[in-house]
Amino acid sequence: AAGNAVVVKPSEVSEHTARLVAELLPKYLDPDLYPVVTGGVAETTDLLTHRFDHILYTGSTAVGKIVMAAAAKHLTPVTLELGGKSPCYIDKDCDLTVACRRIAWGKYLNCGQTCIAPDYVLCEPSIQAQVVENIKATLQEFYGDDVKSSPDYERIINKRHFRRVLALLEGQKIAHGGESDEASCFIAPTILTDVSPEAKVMQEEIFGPILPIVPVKSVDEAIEFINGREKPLALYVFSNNKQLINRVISETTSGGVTANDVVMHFFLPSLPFGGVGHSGMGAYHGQHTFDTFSHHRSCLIKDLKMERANKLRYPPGSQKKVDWAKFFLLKRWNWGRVGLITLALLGVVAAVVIKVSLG
Amino acid sequence: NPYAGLVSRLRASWLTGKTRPMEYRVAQLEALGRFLDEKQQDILEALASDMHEPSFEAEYCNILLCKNELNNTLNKLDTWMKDEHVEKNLVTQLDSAFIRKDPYGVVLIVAPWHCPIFAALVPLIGAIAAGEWELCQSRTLRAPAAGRMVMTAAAKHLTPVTLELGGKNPCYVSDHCELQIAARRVAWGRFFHAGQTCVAPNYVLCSAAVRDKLVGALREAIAEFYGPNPKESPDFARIADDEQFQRLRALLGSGRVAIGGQADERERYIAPTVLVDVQPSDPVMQESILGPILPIITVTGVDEAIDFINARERPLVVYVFSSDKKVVNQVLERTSSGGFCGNDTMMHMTLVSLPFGGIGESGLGRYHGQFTFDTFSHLRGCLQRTTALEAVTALRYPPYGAHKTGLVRAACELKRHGACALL
Repeated sequence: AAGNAVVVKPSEVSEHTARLVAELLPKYLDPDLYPVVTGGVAETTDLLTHRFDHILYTGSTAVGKIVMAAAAKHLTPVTLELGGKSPCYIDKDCDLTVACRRIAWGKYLNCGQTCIAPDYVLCEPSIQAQVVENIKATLQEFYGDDVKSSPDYERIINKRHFRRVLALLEGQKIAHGGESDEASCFIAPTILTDVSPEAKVMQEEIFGPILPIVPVKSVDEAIEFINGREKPLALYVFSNNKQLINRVISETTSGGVTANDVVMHFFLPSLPFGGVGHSGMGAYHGQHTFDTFSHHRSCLIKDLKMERANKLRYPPGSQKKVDWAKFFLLKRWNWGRVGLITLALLGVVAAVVIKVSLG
Repeated sequence: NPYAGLVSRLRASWLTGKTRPMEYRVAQLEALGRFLDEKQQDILEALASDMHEPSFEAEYCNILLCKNELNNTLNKLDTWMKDEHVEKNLVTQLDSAFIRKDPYGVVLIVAPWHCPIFAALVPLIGAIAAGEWELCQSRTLRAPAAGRMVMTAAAKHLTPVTLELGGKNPCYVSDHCELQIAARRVAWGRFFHAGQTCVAPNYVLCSAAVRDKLVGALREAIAEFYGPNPKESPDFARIADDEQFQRLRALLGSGRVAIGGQADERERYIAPTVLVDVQPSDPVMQESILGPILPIITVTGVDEAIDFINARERPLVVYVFSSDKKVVNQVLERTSSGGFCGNDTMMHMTLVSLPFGGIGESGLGRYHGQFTFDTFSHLRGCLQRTTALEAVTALRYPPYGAHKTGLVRAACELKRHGACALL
């Protein structure tokens, strides 16, 4: 929409989709201007040595740094959609049934492999058990008794990520789930309780169907916890108390926020979608994508007339000229007062005209 | 690293939330205003010592324009800080959807030597307004190499950057224009601050027929501004330091001197100079001049001028002088640059409502006015959902089914305008 030529590089990890895009997109779009390039790390590294006028990268924080460093050689502006651990704070005072259903939906969607899934939950120890029970009940509603045979539950993308995610369960208290099957890259929807902030599962973005619950004493501790870590892509808070929600939003920062639900801010195109800090820079969706790929060029078109007014700015200088420059640059008209006076004058004129024409 | 302690202290201060309330930001901005008012004389004297800067230029750029930015910011800060409510779709009708302007945290502003006050204070104003803690530094750097270095360093921490770099700003003077007026405006832009501004017209493109008349008009304009001997004029600045002076003096060898050409090392004075018969391969055409030298290159017409401009790195500004609106629009449409100004030089910079920034080698990002505030704000998309209507929300949960999918599609679908369902 912004009028650029685009090189599209799908991820080699989703190999079937990448092949499909590479084959079919050129059949619809002008291949002279919208080629698709496939490949892995080596190909991407080669691609990045070339000069582009903008790069939009979606992926991990580590690779984001590499992309930006490569872009720096050509002073190419970048939009980086990265990841992070998106926290989800559940207040004591909230409709726990609805909250847990929404969290379960967002967490296990695509088997946890979305950048904006609620990564971990923060809540007071007194409601931890209820949260677990509610999510268990929801999972039953969504996927039935046997998750593995539900057509609505996905698998981990490949063996490497399967092993990575499974390793995060080591030494943890599994309150629900934990089953896995390497052959089909299946990991059951899993909930961990009483997770320590130092645990391995709390050190990296999970990107899988594991939901750690980290107990906190209060919303103050939750806010401190969130602020003590890298800025996340999304932040979630569940509460009936509007002031608490506002406080959490005001005292933290994140790419985006959904309160009393998860993921949904992603689906509103009028909201800019992007990260901050290690979760990314820049934004897109809706008009924000158009703006991201446009250079907003300031234009001032003057006339060669009215040259007399310009004499104020030319040398030789003088205090008088400075005073006039101040007048033109700094003066702010209070149209309110002038408007009122003008209106009053017009009123008088109108009254006189009417009187004269009637009289 | 001598700054490690400073940066972590700044971050700790920022985390206390001190900069969040508008009152705090307003107080700091007002203090900056008092600095400009109370220390105006000191500022002008310092600028005069650095560059023999004429007081009109110094006051205009460093005091007036900064105060303009300050007042604009103070007038509008409450509006800028407000949550921006956005259009909602059917699914989110009962929700609150808005963009929250979050400060980033700790920012670094690196200012250049050629406009040390303006380029430090204008970003500072916006950064304070946006709630940041700032670290300001002044350096002598040569863009865009310096820009690359800054961005590479920033990449290690994924720090977003705004780079205001330089470039060779072309100025096309067409056959159809009031040459005397054009020459005056070009001369003003080129020799203001002895050419040491990033937005000065760097070189002129015009036809052979116009060239000599233009040179004559420029000579007249220079005499009008600075008298018969610019060295004696209090309104003509000096070069900032010896390194810059030597660099500029070497450029005087390109082409042939039509006006000026004198240099005095003791005073770091370089006369307002116009060079003709310049070749594109000459040294004066290889870098941003940042001095009072104006090369003129002849072209056959607007098409050749546009090709010449497009064959080079995209500049910070493109200038065109013509009484024919079509010519101005042609150059605007067929070139690319940070900004554009028709029939004048530098004036687009004085409007706080226009974003100021480069593209390609001339820079990345923009500022001035509200754009500074936005540059230093993270625009955070926020959706506050209602917990009511769970039955409607339930449409999105598994188990999935055709009827559910249909309803969800109907609730979320955005149709293209003009697509009539009846036809």
